[in-house]
Amino acid sequence: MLRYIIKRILYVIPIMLGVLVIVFLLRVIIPGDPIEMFVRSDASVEEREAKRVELGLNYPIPVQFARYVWGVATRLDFGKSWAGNVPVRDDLLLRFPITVRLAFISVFIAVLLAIPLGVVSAVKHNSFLDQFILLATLILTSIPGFWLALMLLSAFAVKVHWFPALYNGTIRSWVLPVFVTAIGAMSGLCRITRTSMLEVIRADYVRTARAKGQTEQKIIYNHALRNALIPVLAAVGNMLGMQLGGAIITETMFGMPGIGKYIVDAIGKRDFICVQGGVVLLAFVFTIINLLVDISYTLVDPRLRSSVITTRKKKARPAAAA
Amino acid sequence: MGNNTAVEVKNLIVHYETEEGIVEAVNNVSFSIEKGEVMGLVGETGAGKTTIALSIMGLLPHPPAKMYSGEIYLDGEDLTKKSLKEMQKIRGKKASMVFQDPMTALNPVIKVGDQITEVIKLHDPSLSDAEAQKKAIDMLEMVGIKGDRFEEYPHQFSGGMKQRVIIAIALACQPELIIADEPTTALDVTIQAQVMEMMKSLQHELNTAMLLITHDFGIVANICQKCAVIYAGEIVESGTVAHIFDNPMHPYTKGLFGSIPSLDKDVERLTPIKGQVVDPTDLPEYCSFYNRCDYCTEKCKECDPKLVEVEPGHFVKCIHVMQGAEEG
Repeated sequence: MLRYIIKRILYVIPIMLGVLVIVFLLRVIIPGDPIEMFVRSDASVEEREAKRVELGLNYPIPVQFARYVWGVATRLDFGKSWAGNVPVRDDLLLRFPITVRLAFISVFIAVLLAIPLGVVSAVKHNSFLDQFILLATLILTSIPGFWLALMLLSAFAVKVHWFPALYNGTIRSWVLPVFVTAIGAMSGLCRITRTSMLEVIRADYVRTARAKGQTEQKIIYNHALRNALIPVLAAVGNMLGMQLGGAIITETMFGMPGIGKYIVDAIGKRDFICVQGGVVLLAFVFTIINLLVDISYTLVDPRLRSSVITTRKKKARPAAAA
Repeated sequence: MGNNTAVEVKNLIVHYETEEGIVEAVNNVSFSIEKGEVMGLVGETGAGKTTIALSIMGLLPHPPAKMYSGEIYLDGEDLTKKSLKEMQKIRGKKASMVFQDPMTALNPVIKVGDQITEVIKLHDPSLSDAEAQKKAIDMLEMVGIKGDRFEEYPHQFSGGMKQRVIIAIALACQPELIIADEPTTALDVTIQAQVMEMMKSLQHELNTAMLLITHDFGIVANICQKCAVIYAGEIVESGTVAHIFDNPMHPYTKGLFGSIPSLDKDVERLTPIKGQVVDPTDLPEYCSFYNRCDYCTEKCKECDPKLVEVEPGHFVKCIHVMQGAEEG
């Protein structure tokens, strides 16, 4: 088991290397010389060259890449912002908590709502309530987040001043962004829970539980839900990752100074070193969340757990023989 | 109904009301099983065997299933009049069921032992956890599984072992009736024999009545005392195993025996029953076996024959037998 976990953690290294390559290459192949953004328009060739040296862009591409990866890996040094000459790491550390908080609070609320609704919907299959939940979640999944954000802003921030239109750090200014993010995640999760639950309550082992004389309530909790939540778990992890990345829109709409907004602002300024840092951080968090989901899978599903343990035994046997 | 009767089913009619039409799954089925007796219920897939079993357990899926008429007496009480709560006390305690497919009948995320303990605790809440666990381990050992496998999960068991666990669950509260719905169909032949042999001896030991649903006459001959042959939701012939095997009278029963390979007779080809099973959404007014019957005559179309007692305890539902009975 421990071996499996260590193996999975080691997988993170090649994944992150791949991410670094892609992000770095994207920056390189984007047309336009970033230097243009950071020198006066009438700057001389010497001035441009000086800036290029200052930003470290004078080295050949592979060398630039190696220097970047080395910096990130050894010192967590994401370079210095081209525009402000501030270490990217400092900015990321400042802004990351906001993005994480938004994603975690939203997904937490979404899970709290989605699982009971999904279960009720499946248990009362084809009832009015089920149809209603189905329709409501369909509409909510279909609504684009940015549109919902705009509507909420114009209703609750502009018409009635219940909530501030722009983030100012107060709890009030968290309500709308959390709502927008949670609604999107909730409707998706609710539908997944419902589908998974519907499949499970028709399973033979649920019928076995009934034949034992178990009460319906316990059948749902003890027998059905535990099985139905296995796919939901993966979806929650995915949703969390998506919210971290998708925060770009929400944060921009509500002016929240998180990683998403940081990336968008940096793109506007062609400050690609910052974009690079932000994307690498998000990718890293996404990978870690997936890692945690994979590990938690083995805790929930005994079939997976023993498959993990047997692979270890199989490998141990020839070693013992030798 | 005698004192010795464990279960009696009277005039059971069950329909499935689907969008494609009404499926007449069980049509006026009556039978009874004595304490300690094993009755085989034989028929093709779709004949309504499982529906009868689920009716007794009160586990018919509503909708689409609907019980039109019928009384089911277990221990002198009519189960069809019980509320869900009362049925929950009966299921697993007085009547329990062994399902067809052991691969899916156990919950994959719950320890095998806990699945047995569940039914024990459910019907005897006064037991402490330790006592219930002890009893569950005893049950495991009774079906031939080492008690130390209590903590394992179903995927660590083979098909035959899983079926043993399911049998342990079914027997845990020493029910008066066990319904075994094709308990060995999903198992390979050697394991089939083992499991069947074990069920037979446990049933005998506990003196439990058993309704054994199967399409395998070999199993019926091996462990049943009584047998009913069911076709299109009706019992077409019933009697003791000797009646059915030595003197089959209904053309369908004869047809079934004709399609079993025999060791001692040298037959070129097996004789299958011609035609297809009658469409249960469109049963004829007359004998539903008419279209496939080798002995059918114009008279068969005149009325739906009744089950007639041709010799003590041997009932046949065929117009030719009826005539013979009337004439003789």
